[in-house]
Order: sequence, then C-alpha cells, then structure tokens
Amino acid sequence: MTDLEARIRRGVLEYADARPVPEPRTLGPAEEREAVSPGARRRWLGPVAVAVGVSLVLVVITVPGPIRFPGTGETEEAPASLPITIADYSALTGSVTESPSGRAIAAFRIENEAVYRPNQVLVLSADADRYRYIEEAETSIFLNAERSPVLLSSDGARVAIGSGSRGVSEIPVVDLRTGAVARHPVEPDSTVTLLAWSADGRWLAYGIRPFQPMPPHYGESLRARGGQLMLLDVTSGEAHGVRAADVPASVAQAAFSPDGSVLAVQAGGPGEGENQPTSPGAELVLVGGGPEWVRPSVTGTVPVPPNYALAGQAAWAPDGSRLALTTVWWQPQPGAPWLRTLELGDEGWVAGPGLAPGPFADFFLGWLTPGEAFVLSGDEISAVRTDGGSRRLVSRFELSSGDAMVLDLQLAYALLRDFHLRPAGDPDRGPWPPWLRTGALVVVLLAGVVVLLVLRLRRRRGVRGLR
Amino acid sequence: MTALREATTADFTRLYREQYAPMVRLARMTVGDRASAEDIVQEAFAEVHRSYTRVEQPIAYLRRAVISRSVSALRRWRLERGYLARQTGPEVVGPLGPEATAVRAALARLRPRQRAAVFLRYYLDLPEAEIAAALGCRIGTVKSMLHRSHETLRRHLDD
Repeated sequence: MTDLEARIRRGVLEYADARPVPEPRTLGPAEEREAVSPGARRRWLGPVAVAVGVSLVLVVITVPGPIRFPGTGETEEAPASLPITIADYSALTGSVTESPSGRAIAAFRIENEAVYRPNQVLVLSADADRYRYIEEAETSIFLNAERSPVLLSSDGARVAIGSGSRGVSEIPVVDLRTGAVARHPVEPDSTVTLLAWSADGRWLAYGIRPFQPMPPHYGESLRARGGQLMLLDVTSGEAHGVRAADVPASVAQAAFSPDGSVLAVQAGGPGEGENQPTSPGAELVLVGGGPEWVRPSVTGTVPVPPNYALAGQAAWAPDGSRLALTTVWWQPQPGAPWLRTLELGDEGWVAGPGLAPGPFADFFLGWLTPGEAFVLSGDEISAVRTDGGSRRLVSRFELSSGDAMVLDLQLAYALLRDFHLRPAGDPDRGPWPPWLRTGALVVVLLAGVVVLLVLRLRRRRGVRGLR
Repeated sequence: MTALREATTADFTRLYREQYAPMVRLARMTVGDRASAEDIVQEAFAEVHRSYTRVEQPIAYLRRAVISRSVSALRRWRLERGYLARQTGPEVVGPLGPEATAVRAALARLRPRQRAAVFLRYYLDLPEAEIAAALGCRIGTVKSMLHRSHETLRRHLDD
C-alpha cells in the first residue's frame, strides 16, 4: 500500500468513526410505511416519464437511416500507426457499419456516468484519425446502457461481439474494412466469452456455456467468464469444439502463439462461491493444433502462480519467448507484482521477472517488443520495460469530461510489431449516427409544421384585415 | 411456513442490527448529512424487508440500495435547489486530527459514487468485485473510478 493510500485509509477511518451512529430505530410494519419517503408515492411519475422518453427514442431509432457513406480505404501494406493523442469522445461519432473505419489499431469502450451521454464501443483506424462506434455492441436503446463485450482481431480487420447480460444465439463479427456483419450461429441462449484471435486474424477462440441469469444486484462484475473451448474459422464460418483430452472443460482465458499453431488456455468459469466470478486454473494448458487445427491435442502444461491469470489474447510475446500474467484481483499487497512473465528457456517455461505496481491501476495491452509491454493507466498508454519497470508515455486519451472513462482498451496486437506513432490530426467521425439524423429530421419536420401554422395564422389575419 | 417466516424475521433482525451502523456510515460518507443518511438507510432496509425472501445476497443488495438512494437523493436535492439549504455547512463531527480533516475536505471534491467507492475500499476493505456489485458497474469501472478518486485526493491532499 502506498503512503497516499495509507493516508486515505487512516483519514477515512477516523472521519467515518468520528461521530457514533445512534442505535437503530425499531423497524416495524408501521415504521416501514413511514420509512418510505412521501416522494415514493409519486415515483410512478418517473417511470412514466422514462417510458414516454423511451417510446420517443424508440420511434427515432427504429426509423432507418437513409444515408450510407463508404469508408476510404488505405493500403494495408503500410505500417499501422497510433496517434500520440486519442481524440475526445463525441456522441456524434458514426457507425462502422454505415461508414467503415478500415483496419483498426484500437478498440475501446467509453462509459459515462452522466445518463444523457451515450456509452460507446469505438474503434480507431490504424491508418488515419478515423473513429467509429460499433453498433452491433449496442444492447439497448438506452444511451448509457451496458454495451456487449467486443474483441478486436489481432490484425485489426474485425471485431467480434460477445454476450453481455443476456443469452445470445449468434456471434456477430464486423468487418471493419467493409462494414459487413457476418453472423455465426451458436446454441440459442448461450453465454459467449470471447477469448483470443490468432495473429493472422483467421481463428477466433471463444468459450460457450448455457446462459444463466443473475439477479440484477449481483452486478456485472460477478458474472463468470468461461465455457467450453470453441474455435471459429472466420474465413469459412465453421466452428468446432476443442475436445482433446486434458483440455479444461471450461476455459476463461486464452492466447494464441505468434504462429497460431498453439493455444495457451487457462481453466475458469462460474465460481463455486457467488462472489467468485472466475476461478483461474493453477496451470496453463498448451493446446497444439497446427495451422488448420484439425486434430488438436494437449502438448504441455505450465504452472501459474496463485492469483494470476493469463493477460488476455495478447499475452504471448511476438517472438514466442514470453507469456504475460496479471493479478486476478487487484489488491494493494506490498511488493506483489501486478504483471509477471513466464519465460521459455532450455528447461521449458520458468517464472520470469515481475513488475511492481506503479500507478494505481495498470492494464496489460500487449507487447511492443519481447522486453517492453504496453499498459493502460487511467487515460494514458505507456510502454513499460519488464526488466526494470521504466516507462515512457506513448499516447493518451484527451477526455474533456470527468464523467467519461476508458475501459476495455484493446490494441491490434499483430500490428504492434511494425507500427509508428504519429501526430494526431482532426478526428474523422463519419456521418452522424442514425438516431441523431432521425432526431434532426424530426426537429426539421416539427419546425416546418410550426412555420406552416404561423404562415396560415398570418394569412387568416390578413384576410380578416381585408374584410 | 410459520417456521420459515420466523427464521426470516430473526435473520432480518440480525441483519438490521449488524448492518445498520456501517450502512449509515456509507450513506453519510456519500451524502454528507447524518439525518438524511439515517432516512436513506431506513428506506433501504424497508425495501429489503419487503422482498427479503427473494434476496439472495442481502448485504450486497443493501449496499447497492443505499448508494443508489444516496445518489438519487443528492440529485433530487440539487434539482429542488434544496441542496444548498441542507448543506449550510460541513456536518458537525467530533474533533478530527489534521489528517482526517484534510481527507474529509478532499473527499468533498469527489462525486458521490466516487466517495462511496472510496468508503467501500478503505473503510470496509471490500475487494473490487464487491465494490462493483455495490455500485452496479463493472470491475474496470471501479478501477477507473478509484484511480480518478485517488488522483483527485492526491491533488487536494498535496495542496
């Protein structure tokens, strides 16, 4: 725990305990009625207002947008690039299906605490300052509703959409270069956990299990990851289960080797305790499948330190020599590294150096080189050396609102091997989103009606004046 | 049926006795006003009481209800322009040491949900998953919220 945290803890404890809490009042049926504030009796007004608002939004959104703006294509042979500043969030950002972004270097979610600002899942082009939102990740017409989890492919060409708080019957995969959406069917009412894309962007590993509803107060944080390991070939649309002996029955984390022939997986799934969403396995299981994944088989296992899990789909270093692990639960434990590595040596996989917690919370994003990891800290992307912890700022989000937060940032990890930083230009956000266009249309129509009424009124007065 | 009801009543009474004080502290930290905090907690308990047999995690449910009601109350007061009238000055508390005074002043710079997150983290020592459940958000949101709270507190504590 840092000095500052210790200071906060001492201050909070002293402040909270400074005034004793009086004995609780007796809570009988009569008091229960009293306890409900008078405002509660008028609470129907809120839902009615919301229902009216929602109905209006529904009408607006269900009217199809007539405009389609084709995206401009760049040559994909050019190295990918990342701007040194990532533009501020805008509710006016257009949809990738209407106006493709081209291959993306990053995908991320912006969440707002303010209810009137929409949450968005966005992609940033790898070739220009082009931002688009992923319409397929929308689960509700509510602006600040939950968005489905997405997984950006390693080559930045596609985004797969997983399941959020509802069961799904398909995995939509959005082609960012064309805006086309391929829908891959799965068992109806399933929970789909997106695990990893292979480096060539052909294979998508995911976990699938029957959907189980959770009481709303559990919060999304308690929803378990994991499911039976499946592989989807997005070029053919064929999916098959990986059923080799010793493959965990439920897989929660996975990462492809750089050549795509081996998949490191870690067991996990619905925890036994209700407060344990993920129970990571004590070892990584290496599943080999060759380039075509015809007869996969387990080729080895690697022990994992307790409380650590594979650091997502980009965990495998580009030269195949390292695997990144991060802590499962963030807890301020003095000296406990938040990032650890497993190193491939002559004796097989052995534990490598760890990185002590630096800023308050770091998220692993991928490898820049085998010795340097990309991390997200707050709104900043940094490159951190794993052998000493020195870090340099690479890029940062320019969020002007204190309400907006960057979450689930993913980088197209195969593009990081040959990419450059560039100055940020003016953001290209594409056409207005359909709801806004339709809203603007409604406003224009209403304005037209008002103008007609005014004109008619004036005409009548004019006629009266002539009489 | 009678036995089940009696067991439920006894459970609820125990829950009420054990959780009343921490819930009042949570609400007080969030809204900054003792009387309102007690009202909010009473309302939350009444809500839990009504649906007690259907609630599987009553403490998690209570935390969520208290935070949600606290934030709603603050929003309502602001809308009714009664917030300033209620907040005529800082809540009168016992003598605080210089560190707690500074932390208290810094906490006032946070948003209500951030204050709740800080209380859950540093007073109740909850893991992120339970903080996320109490706030009704993702673990990533909690991390980000705590990160921002931390930065704000750092700025104002260093002043």
